[in-house]
Amino acid sequence: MWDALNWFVYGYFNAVLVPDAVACGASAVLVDIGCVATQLFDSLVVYLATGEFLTGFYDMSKLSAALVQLVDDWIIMMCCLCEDLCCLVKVRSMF
Amino acid sequence: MPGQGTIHVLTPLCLLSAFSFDVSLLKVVPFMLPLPMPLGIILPALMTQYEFWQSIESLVNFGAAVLQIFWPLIINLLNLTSPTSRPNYLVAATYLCQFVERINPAVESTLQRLWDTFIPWRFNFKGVLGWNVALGCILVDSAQIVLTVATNVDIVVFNLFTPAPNTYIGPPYTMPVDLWRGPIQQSIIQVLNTWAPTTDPTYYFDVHTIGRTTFIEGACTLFTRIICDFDGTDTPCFNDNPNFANQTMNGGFLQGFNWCCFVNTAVTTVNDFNVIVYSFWLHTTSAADWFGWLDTGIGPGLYLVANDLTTVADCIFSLVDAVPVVGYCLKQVFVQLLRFFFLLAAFSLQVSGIGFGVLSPVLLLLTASSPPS
Repeated sequence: MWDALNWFVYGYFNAVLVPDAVACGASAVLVDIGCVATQLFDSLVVYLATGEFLTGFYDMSKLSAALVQLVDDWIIMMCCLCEDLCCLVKVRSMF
Repeated sequence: MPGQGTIHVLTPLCLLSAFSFDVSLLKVVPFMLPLPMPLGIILPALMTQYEFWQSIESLVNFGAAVLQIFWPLIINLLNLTSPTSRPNYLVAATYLCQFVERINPAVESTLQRLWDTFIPWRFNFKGVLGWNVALGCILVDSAQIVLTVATNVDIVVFNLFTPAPNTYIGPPYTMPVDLWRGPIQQSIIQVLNTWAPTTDPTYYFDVHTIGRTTFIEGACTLFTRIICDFDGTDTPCFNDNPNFANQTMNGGFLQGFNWCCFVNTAVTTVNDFNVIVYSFWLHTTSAADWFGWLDTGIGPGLYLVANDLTTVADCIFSLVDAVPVVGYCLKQVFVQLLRFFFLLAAFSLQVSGIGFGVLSPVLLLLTASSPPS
């Protein structure tokens, strides 16, 4: 498990992520990361920092949408250099 | 560039390498996590589902609800003061049930995606985990009721024979029993408890199944999908006419036995038994209340369960119906014989209940004459 995690952090970054991002363009993913960060601050951080969790409840609908968009664009980016099962987990309209 | 040479290569060997992390695999399955297989590809697929993230919201809110229960208690503990109110677990249970409701469609869609990718036969996963949602919510709500009773049981213990005001500790609504097969039969529940939040029956029998899949509906969807309706086209597996209930309409395997009939009647039996347990919790303010319920409240439920068991037997013995000439008569003999024993058992149990009912005034008189010191 530790080896896999270690590989994922170092090997994945050098061998997969950087080459793909360079070849396919990472602008959409970067924009999505910005959206997720904004929503994360607007909802979760504010919810926790203001102590609202002691009296109210958390609304994650906008953050959920931003996360789905990020995952979707991430897969599209990773799919640009490969074929076949590449789109295994890509979101399709039928769902 | 490392791994670049294997980009377009997809072989069974490549799929086998899913059990170890390999750059070439990541090129054909682009989004993986360093987790044991198949979790390594199922979890990323889940992350593409909106409902998955919304289920995390439910978990966060469940945590907040638990914190909101414990926070006042912690403050009381720090100030060395007595708590002003008792914990209410209803909100936490609602969010946990919502988590199950949200994660379920996300898992179904994920399984559908992986199935469609790897398996060459069509199978429609939509709705096949509906039973899981109902069962999850039933378990969560049942745990909530047990916790509520456990937290408040001292009220009953210290007021055994004298009901005290505001001591109702039973379930607030009928959802744990409604979700088995639909709204329960109100006529077999006795709501006469003076100290219950209200004696208005509609308070307890609000319809909690609107928009929800009951366990029996989910189980029937699962069985139907596995037995004959793989594509989920809603083609019935069996003839709707009860006289031809075992006549298979759509081919498939496990023919000749109406699984939906068996599941339906079996779950109905479990449900009606739960109604008896639920009815019991409506009368938990004093021993006199319990005995009164045993005297007059348990009877209708027992006879209902006895008749339910007869219908289960009828479905099981429908297999004997296939025997030429004597099949139908043979089935009737078996079923009616069992019905006799079921009703006899119900009668015996009710007589025992009446015995307790007769005994309760005696106990009350004894207690009144010699109050505990």
